[in-house]
Amino acid sequence: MRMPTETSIWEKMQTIDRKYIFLGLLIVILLAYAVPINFPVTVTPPVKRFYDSIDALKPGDVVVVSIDHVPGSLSELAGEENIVLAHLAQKKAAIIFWGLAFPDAPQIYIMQGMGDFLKSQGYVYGKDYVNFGYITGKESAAETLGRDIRSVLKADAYGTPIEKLPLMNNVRSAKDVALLITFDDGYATEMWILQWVTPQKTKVASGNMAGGLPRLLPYLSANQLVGAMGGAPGAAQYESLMKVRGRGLVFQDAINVSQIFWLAMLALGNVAFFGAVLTKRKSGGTK
Amino acid sequence: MIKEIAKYIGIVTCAVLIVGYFIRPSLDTAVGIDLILWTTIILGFAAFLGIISLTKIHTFNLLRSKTDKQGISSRQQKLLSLILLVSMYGTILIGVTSSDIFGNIYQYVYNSIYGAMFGILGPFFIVATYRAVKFRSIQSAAFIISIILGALVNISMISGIPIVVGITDWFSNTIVTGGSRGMTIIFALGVIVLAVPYLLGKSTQYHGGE
Repeated sequence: MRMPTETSIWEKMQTIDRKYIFLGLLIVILLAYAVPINFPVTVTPPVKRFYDSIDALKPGDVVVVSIDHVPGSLSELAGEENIVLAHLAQKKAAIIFWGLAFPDAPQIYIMQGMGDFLKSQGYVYGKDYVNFGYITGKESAAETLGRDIRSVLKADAYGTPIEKLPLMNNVRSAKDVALLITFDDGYATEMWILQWVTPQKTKVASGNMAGGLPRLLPYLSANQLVGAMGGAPGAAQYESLMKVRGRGLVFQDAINVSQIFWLAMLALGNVAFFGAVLTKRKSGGTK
Repeated sequence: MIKEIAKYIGIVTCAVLIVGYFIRPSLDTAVGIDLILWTTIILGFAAFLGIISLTKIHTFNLLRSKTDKQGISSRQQKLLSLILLVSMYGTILIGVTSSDIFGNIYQYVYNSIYGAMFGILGPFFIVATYRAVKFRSIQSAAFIISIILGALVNISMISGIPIVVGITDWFSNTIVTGGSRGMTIIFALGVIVLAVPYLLGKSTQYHGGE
């Protein structure tokens, strides 16, 4: 017996070939890049707190930027790194770069052009910023760095002894660091909270993945983090505070349309599911 | 005997670190530095073992001529194994000899492939949502509402609407924060439950005991 037409439509909808969904997503994302819509951006409290913590820095305050992610996460974190570095340069903060979570930190430092950007802002290597590259030991290293930086670091990433880096003359432990910023795609934020916030009372802010942000909310409400932002939406909010259009705001358009597309797919999938259930019931099916 | 020594080294090291976390002597700084050195040595040795193991497996693949259980022919296996070995040793060689070429390989090959693999999750996530995420029960409804609220936060043009702000803020500050805090407490309790028997020498599972 031939099935009712409605049933076949609902069932067809449920078994649609995934390549059409891939194609739909590709089209909406390409359109967002081709035709910038510039949707308005609402700044959330965690990002505003992140911004305020950097804005409160005085010239010469020492900030550690810890690159704690793999290159695969750059799509989400590059925008955050760019805008935060621009803000730090604007505030004339002294910057120490390192990475503890993954050995990719030195390459990400180069790929992101962090040193080159600071040079273009009048920064002098050794005096205004230094790069220690990747430090092994993860949690043990973080703990020991917090107590005594020189016991772990004898030279920078280029082999210059720490004694010959003027910036490091007055930086002995976490107590001498005004703010630590971790760009993290895993659990480095928790590591810094455990090893620098709790015992050393250092201020820590986290540039995280969009999906990682909810995990950080308890630390924000307990003031164990001074600020946090999640992925490209976080970078877009920060850029809107800085009044510049960078990678975050460009990505935000694509995120907007892809998330709307995803919600539409969610709705459509459920419409098809309930359509099939109702049709079966009407036609005397089992359900 | 070696296991016993490892156990006592582990117990003493952990005890010193835990005590040092609450009291501020210089003793645990010295222990910390030693731990970093040991971690570095062990990680280096593990990487070395990994290279030997990969070489052994893929050299074996190059020499054998049988189709495997997944139906991949010996010719395909040989090609894949050859690509892997050439890539691995080539990158190691270039990494040691030329930082410029290594930088280019890292940026234009490794980084691109890594980013693409990460990005490919997005389309699969949408397909999975379309096909599997249905309002079948109260639990699934709670799950779907949660992910919708999570998505709304990321859609800038919607996240600024006052009622959406109210709902998403309440959801983040109450439900998500409460849930995350609960999971953190459970995780911490779990660590204590696992660590105490180990620190007292009652459990030896971490170094291969029963």
